Amino acid sequence: MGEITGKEIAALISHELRTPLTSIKGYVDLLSKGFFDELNDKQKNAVTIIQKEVNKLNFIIENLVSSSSIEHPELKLKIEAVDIIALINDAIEGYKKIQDDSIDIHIENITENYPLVYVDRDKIKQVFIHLFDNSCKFNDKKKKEIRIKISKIKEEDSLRIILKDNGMGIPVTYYNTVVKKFKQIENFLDRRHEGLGLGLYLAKTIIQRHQGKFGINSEENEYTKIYFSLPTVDVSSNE
Amino acid sequence: MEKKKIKILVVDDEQPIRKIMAKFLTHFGYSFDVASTADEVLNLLREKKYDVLFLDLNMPGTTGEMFIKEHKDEFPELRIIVMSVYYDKPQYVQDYIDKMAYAVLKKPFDFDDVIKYIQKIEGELNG
Repeated sequence: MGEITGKEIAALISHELRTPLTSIKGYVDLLSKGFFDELNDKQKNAVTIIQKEVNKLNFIIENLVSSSSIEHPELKLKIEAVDIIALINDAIEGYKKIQDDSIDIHIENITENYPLVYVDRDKIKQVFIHLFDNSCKFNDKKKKEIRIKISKIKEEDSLRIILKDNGMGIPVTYYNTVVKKFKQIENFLDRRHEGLGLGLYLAKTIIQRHQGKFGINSEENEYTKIYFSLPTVDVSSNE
Repeated sequence: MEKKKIKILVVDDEQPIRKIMAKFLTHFGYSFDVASTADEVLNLLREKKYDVLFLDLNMPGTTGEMFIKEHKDEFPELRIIVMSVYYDKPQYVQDYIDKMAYAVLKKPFDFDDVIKYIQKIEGELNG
């Protein structure tokens, strides 16, 4: 029998962890909805914490599985025409389910009529959640902010998205390091910040799978700008 | 005109998931049965008419995927909502399931999605 591959290990872990997680999440969700009885405020708070931690655990499992499969050519994207503002709002909602820290996320020119983007909705939602999570984690300020700017790239059939936070920034010498698998600026064992170091790697790889460009621009202790492009035409056949 | 009452069948080999689905469906007053194997499902489907089947993919014996391949044609009006960890399936299986199923709920799923799909089907049946 051949050696078990990383992808197979990820699939196995995914199955073994997600099965009990489904029951835990199910019971906690129904507890929070008062299906078993009305909860008092202390019980509600406890259940909310468990819910967030369960969602966080699921997010970690998803990231592990994604990191083992996203570069695999066999993994096909499910491309559909998507409204970018609705997608970002969906990602903001998704992010709130896993993170307690408050961060002010503001979309500029939200009423503008942007062309639809042709993307794998779940994957691009994952990109935004990773970027929100990173901005929130690597930010010691009292008031954490992300501003999102969307613009049409004239020469190309794509939208440019820029996320600018007011976090601790990334030194220019680390731009290439932080987009690698399991990498953060800090040494793995000395990390002050939680996480597997997969967020920017997954974000960049997912964007590249959509034929998009991904880049970082940062000023230490001031801001990090992440910019990327998303196609406004269906490019899935070019993969 | 009286609304058509939807009939639901749930199959999952995990007892806690069967229990939680039963709790949820009872709360909303739906008529349902639960089963733990694909063979039980087949017997129930041949005995009674159901509108929706919540089908776990990873069951011992006849898996959900095998069930769809072998028996979907026998029950053309049955809407199958697959419940699966999903990522452990090869791409061609995922594509096949996407094509054959009414919807896919990735485990662990939100119960808001469960009710969303049930209400959508109710709308279709009464529309």
